[in-house]
Amino acid sequence: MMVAICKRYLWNSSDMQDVLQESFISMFNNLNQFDVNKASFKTWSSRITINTCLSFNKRSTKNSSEELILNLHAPYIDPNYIDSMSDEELIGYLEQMPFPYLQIFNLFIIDGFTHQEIAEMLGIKVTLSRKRLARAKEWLQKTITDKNEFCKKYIFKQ
Amino acid sequence: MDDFLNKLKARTENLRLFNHEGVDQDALWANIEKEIGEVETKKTRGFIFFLPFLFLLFFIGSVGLYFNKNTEERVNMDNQDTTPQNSIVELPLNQSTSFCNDDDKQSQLGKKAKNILIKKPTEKLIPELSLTVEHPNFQFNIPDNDMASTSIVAVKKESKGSFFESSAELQNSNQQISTNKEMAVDESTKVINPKNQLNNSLDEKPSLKAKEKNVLLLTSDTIHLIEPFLIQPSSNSTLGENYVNKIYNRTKRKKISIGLFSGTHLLYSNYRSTNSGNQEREQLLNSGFKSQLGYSVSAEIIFNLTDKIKITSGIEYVYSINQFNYSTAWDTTFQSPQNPNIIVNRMFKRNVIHHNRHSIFSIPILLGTDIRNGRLALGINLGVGLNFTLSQKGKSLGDDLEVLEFPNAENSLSPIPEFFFSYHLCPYLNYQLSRNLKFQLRSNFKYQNYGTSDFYKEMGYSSILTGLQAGIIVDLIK
Repeated sequence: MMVAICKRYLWNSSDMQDVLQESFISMFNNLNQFDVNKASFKTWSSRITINTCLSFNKRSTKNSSEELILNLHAPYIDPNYIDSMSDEELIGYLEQMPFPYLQIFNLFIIDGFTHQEIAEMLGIKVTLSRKRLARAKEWLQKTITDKNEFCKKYIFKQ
Repeated sequence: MDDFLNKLKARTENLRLFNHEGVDQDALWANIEKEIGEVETKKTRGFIFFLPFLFLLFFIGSVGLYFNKNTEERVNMDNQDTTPQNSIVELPLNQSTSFCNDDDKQSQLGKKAKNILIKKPTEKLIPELSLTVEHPNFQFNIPDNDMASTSIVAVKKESKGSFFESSAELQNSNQQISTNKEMAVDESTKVINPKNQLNNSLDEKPSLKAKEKNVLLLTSDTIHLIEPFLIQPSSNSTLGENYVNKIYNRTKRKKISIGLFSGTHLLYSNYRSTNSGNQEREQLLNSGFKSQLGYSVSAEIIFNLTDKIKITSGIEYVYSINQFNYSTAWDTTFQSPQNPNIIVNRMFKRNVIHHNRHSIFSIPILLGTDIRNGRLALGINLGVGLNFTLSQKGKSLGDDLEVLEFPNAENSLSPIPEFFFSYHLCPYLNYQLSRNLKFQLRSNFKYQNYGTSDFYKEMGYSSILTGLQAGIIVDLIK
């Protein structure tokens, strides 16, 4: 579980072992703060791992700038198309997603945090969190459409 | 959330997105065990910081027992004062020392005299002993050449009442001092009692003057009554005078006071980088923190070593607040809502304002002195403080200039160490409200050195506390 979280949240997956180690140490050191009445151990340990990943990303991306200039004219995609995608295909799309969008996507869609919680965790405004989620969706729609058009245009025609 | 995102959520819930390949589990657990071992070692080391505290408690307890023992001895003396051998003045040759006490005697006013000490020194001890005390209302006059029959009498009543308003019996010669308000001269004891009305209270402050080489011996309970008028024995003082000095100083050493104080303060933080690469962080931290009013309460115990020197210790709770103000700005680009083909570039600014709070339990150890003028006393205390951090919460800049919250679940590091020293400078002003009660107004200047920590790597961290405190001091043992 923790490995999966690290892989999803880390900017650079080669740091996974370091982050896992930090997460385990944080858990052991703060085990006295764990209250079974408030949350399960799985939830508590997941939260610690996510926080550790986010902190690690902050440190590693401090001096890096990310190109966010995207032509986000996203076409409409039938939601049922998602069901027709294979696991590998879906993972492939998510792995290509720009990291700021993927971070919000992971936190909101997969781990179920609210925008308010995401804003506090990442140190951003709630509106920016909402915007990034919307743009993640647009990016995904556009990427799927572009790939399909590419396939139609160049692969299926052959 | 629209249908597209709902579908995505449904797909990802049971989707095994990634596996754990590529993780060297043995190396991972080996590193974890190593780190946990280091943390436990640090905790063990932390216990060492409590050793000075235990030592201080032992010291205070020992001093308390010492003074308590002295008090008991004095009480025993008071109770056995009909026995000549138990003289308070403890003269080496006590064959001519006599005592008079009033334990079972009642004055005509129905009040007990507290203590009467009569000293009849021999010529061997004090060959030139003579005493003349002048006052508009009474006189002592003890002839030089008649030492064998001369007594020095000091009578102490409770603080309210007349100075010489008690009955007393001189045991050696069965001489009774008259308790009439207009006492006659008692020729047999060579004591000239007050001529006029003797009901002048202590508040009238009679201007007693002891002439050169005169000696007045008083019990520890009575000495404070004429303390302001005593002449300190000179360097060539006689043996008898040295006894006065001995009694006087021993009496002063027994004085213990306790004080209760509260006040407010401002805490100015100072960061200094030990590495040239940290100067930006140093500048941001120094400009980002602003002091806000905190408060403190303390209970102190004051030991008067001598008339002028005193040691102060106790416990203090200090609650400080600092405002952390930090701004970051970054560019972002987004699609224009009106025209999807236009990309808008905007700059976002993030301003963090947070109130950092921390509380400290402090044990000051101060050495002080003062100058007295009437009811006022101006003094100063200097010393060190042992400080134990109780709690701290807030935000600050991390190593990479990111805003870090402390403490949090993922990071147990904190900027202020669990234990640190502080250096105190406390000028104060005392006002004597009553015999045993003083009001004190004082300012506090403390330099608190937190040293370097894992939170502020390659940064020195200290602060200066300036505050104002007011409180009362009660004298417990005189």
